[in-house]
Amino acid sequence: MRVNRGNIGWLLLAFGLMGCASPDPVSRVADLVDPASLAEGAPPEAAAVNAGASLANPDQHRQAAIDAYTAYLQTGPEPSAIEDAQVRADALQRVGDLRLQAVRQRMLGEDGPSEPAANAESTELAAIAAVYEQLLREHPSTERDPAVLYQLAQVYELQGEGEASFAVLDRVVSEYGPADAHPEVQFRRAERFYATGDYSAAYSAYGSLVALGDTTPYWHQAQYKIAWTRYRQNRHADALDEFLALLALQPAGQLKTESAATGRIEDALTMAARCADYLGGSAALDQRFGTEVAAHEPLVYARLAEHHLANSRYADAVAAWDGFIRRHPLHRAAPGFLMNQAHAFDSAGFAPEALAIRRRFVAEYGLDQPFWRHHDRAEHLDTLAVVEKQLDVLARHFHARAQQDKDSASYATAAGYYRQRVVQFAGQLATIPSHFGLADLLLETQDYTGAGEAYTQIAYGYPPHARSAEAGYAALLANQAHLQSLADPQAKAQWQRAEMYPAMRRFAEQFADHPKVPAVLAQLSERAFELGEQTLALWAATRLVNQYPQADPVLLQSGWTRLGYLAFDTGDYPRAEHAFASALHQLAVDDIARQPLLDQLGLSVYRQAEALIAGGDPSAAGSEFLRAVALAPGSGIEPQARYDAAAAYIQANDWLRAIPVLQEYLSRFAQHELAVEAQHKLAVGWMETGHPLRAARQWQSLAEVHPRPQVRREAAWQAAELFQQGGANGLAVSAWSDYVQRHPTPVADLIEARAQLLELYEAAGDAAAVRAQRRAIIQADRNAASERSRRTQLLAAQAALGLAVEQQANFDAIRLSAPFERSLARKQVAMRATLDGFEAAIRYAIASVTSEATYRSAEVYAGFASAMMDSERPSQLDADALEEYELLLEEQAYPFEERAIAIHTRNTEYTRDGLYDDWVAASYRDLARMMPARYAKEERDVAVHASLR
Amino acid sequence: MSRFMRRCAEWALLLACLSGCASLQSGSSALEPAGDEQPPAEVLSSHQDALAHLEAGRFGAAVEEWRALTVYAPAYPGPWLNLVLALQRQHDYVAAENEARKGLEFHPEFADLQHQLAVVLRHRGQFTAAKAAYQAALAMDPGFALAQRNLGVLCDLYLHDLECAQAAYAEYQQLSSEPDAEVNRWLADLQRRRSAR
Repeated sequence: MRVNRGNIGWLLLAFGLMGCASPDPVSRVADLVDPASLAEGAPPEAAAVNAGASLANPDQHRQAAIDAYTAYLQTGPEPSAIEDAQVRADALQRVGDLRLQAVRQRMLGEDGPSEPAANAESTELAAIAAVYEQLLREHPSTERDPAVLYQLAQVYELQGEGEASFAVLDRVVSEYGPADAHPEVQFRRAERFYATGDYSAAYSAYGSLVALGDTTPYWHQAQYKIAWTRYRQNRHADALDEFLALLALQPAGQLKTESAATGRIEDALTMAARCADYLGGSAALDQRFGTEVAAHEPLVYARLAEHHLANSRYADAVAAWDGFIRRHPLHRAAPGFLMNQAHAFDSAGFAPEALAIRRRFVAEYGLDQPFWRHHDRAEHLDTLAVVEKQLDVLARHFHARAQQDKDSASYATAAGYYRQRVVQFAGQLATIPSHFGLADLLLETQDYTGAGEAYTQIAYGYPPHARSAEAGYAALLANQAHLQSLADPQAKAQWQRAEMYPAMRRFAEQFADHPKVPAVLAQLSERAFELGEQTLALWAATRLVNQYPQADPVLLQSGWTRLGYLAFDTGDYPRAEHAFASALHQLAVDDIARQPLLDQLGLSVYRQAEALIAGGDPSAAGSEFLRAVALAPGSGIEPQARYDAAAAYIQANDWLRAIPVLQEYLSRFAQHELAVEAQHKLAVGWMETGHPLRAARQWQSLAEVHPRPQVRREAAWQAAELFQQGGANGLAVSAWSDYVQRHPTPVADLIEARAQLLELYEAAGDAAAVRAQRRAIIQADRNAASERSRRTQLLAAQAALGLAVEQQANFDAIRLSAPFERSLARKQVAMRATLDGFEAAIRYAIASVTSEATYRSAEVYAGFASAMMDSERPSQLDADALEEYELLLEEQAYPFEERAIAIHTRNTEYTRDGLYDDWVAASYRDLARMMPARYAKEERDVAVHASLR
Repeated sequence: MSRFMRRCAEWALLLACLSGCASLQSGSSALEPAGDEQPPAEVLSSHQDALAHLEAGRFGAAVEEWRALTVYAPAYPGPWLNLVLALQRQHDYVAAENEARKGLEFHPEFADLQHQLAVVLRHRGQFTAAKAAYQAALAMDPGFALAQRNLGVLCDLYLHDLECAQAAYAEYQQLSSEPDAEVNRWLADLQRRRSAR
């Protein structure tokens, strides 16, 4: 077919029809005609007019063209010449087309013409019909007439004269050949059949166009209308096939978005869904798709589901989506379809079903599922977001249910979803709330280690975030809860070392500004110290006091206290002193916690004093001990420190400083365990400083209070001795008397004490007391049994000798006087007693006592002889009688003298045994007087040398 | 204090700083007698003072003088003997023994001093030692008659050794220029006692 200028408008019209798709597509003959294209067919004059019109819009442009053509037809040459006739025919056709176009434009642009306007258009249409009818009549042409008739059919159509219009179209087919020769006419006819309900004829007409393939612009529209025709014929299976075939023809790009498929595609999807619904739902679709997923396939299933959803047929909608999922679970649309199911159930109020779908969703499309092995996450961010959200939703749902029902299964389920969320979206800040949820849940279920790990991951496993520190501290609380759940001390210790302490340290270092850090440091220090982790304890306490000087005083006190103990344990006592002092500084003056710290402060200084002792500076040590007392008054160490200060001064031989310290100590701590020892030292101190009586009193006091009997006895002894040495004989007598009363054993000491008493009584001239003590000494020695010794025997012998000497004095005092017999008898009795006394003394076999007793025995005999010779002479004797009496006396006295000589001689015999003392020497002297011929033999000395040589 | 003693005190300070008293004992002192030289005036004066004290019964002063001389001029034997005799007058037999023994270290052949040591030992009751001392004196001076007499007394009275006593008395009589009547009686008594045993 030759296409002349006039045919262009027909082609454009045909294409315009193809663009008109509607659910019930009535033919849209009056589609838009491009004014510019119309200008191409205008006569040169009209074209010139068009070119110079410079009109603002197409309507004005078109009207100018119409006016130009009309003017041409009215004023132009007669159609005599063939060329002119041809031009006029073209002009007529052009005028008709432009005016028809204008009408259609106006009709399309108005919502509904008013009655006057409708009348005007009717008039115009009639005029246009007249133009075409004139053209057909005056310029018949086999080439142009089909097109003119087609235009005329349109005019009739617009005039509401359908039958006339259809008759014109039939005329074209009947007069100008088969349909393929006039596809546009055939298309109009098919449309007409369809519009009038003659679906069979329409199907045939459309079919003839389809048969032409895509060589005509009507192919797609015909295809589309065939499907509709089948649908109108209630042949739903055929219609479904046709619609699906139509969709299959669409380029994939046009199917990408459902909303983009306006017109036929959208209609086709909708109609395919309706058809499938008629045919039982998604199963009808399943049969029509192969194993390979078609581009339009998910759209069709989706449209079917939407169709059901619009009718509140939720189960059918779910089935539709599920139909596709079952067939193509790994398709990119499958996750969305599954979530659509959940939303559908949500809308329907079917919460359990929605929940089940969500669980299925995360089970099938979690990031660990096969879906993601086939799809790039970067290209499915929306799906990723859904997975993320659904995991959150499910976790929170089951968590809330668990909290409400206290159901362990729900807790486990929630924990599972939380974990999936955390694992599958690890490291993402958006994951943190879920991670917190997991940690909180584990804490609720008393899985403290799990909670601790979770909180730790939140704190340190993400880039720093707003809740990092919160999580770090929560981890510490979880660790603490786990610790409290442990019963085995060893397990507790291991847990603290392996987990708690590193976590606490990490928290303190990482979140130094967190308000809880001081408390954490304080606790870490304290616990580490208790477990022997000195280095860690030191670190924590040091950090606390150095970096948080404004922290709660209670915490600072704890830190300083720990530093104090740590320094103390390592022997750094100056540092310990400083730390304990700082700890005390944090406490109020009436705080009961001060006392143990005071004790430690004092002890720290005390240890420094001990070091001075070890370093050989006891004097400085004494001052240091007292400094401990001054720094920590009332501390537990005070009594010991005071005592040791005194001991140090004593070690330095500084008794003048030691004594007042001891006195102060005893005045304050009379009941202290070292008080007795202090009394002992004080006693020694008084002795050392030349105060024996004060020392004696101190010993006397010690003798009363010392717990050990032996010390009490020794102290009593010391007291008595010192009183005696100090010349306080009265006090000494009292002290010795007290001693012998209280300490009957050991016998040797008892006898010694009595010997001292004896000495004091002798000094006092208390003869009766002296006698009593001598007898007591003799008795004690006699009863001493195994304790008897040479010393006790000596003292006993001396006591016996003393008693005998006393007897001897009595003996000597008795003068032989008238009546002689009586006095003689008394003197004899006294002599016998005296000699028995000396014999008793001699029996002790103590050399010094023996020689004296022997000498005195000789003296007794010699004394008796002298007494006889010195005795009072009877007064009545005359001279002869007196001479005889004298001879008789000499005879009577002589044996006693002989006896005395014999005893002295015996005394000298002791020299054979090496005994030579004053008493033996005295016997020699007496013998020299009594037997001068034998014993008056003195050595002679050499002469004094008058010269030096 | 005599002038000599004051001088000795002054020297003592000096010598104590040098080498102590041992140097004096070595005989290097200026006070050491050299042959027949006249003793220093101070020494002689002190000795005379001591003699005067002894004569007047001022035993303590005599002891003081002679003790000083024995310290600062120990080489003179006379002061040693006289010191012991003066101490005996004081009945200070312990000091007398000590001084006698020290003097014998300086003058080991001084029989008079050895004799007085024996006397002192007898007073102290050390009879066996006294006998040995007498015998030592007799060994130094076999003609020491007084030592024989006193040995006889020791054996007679204190050692109860009548044979020893008789021998000593007899020897004494032998050594004596004239027989001692008293000792003859003692010998007779001894003979009687021995016969009576």
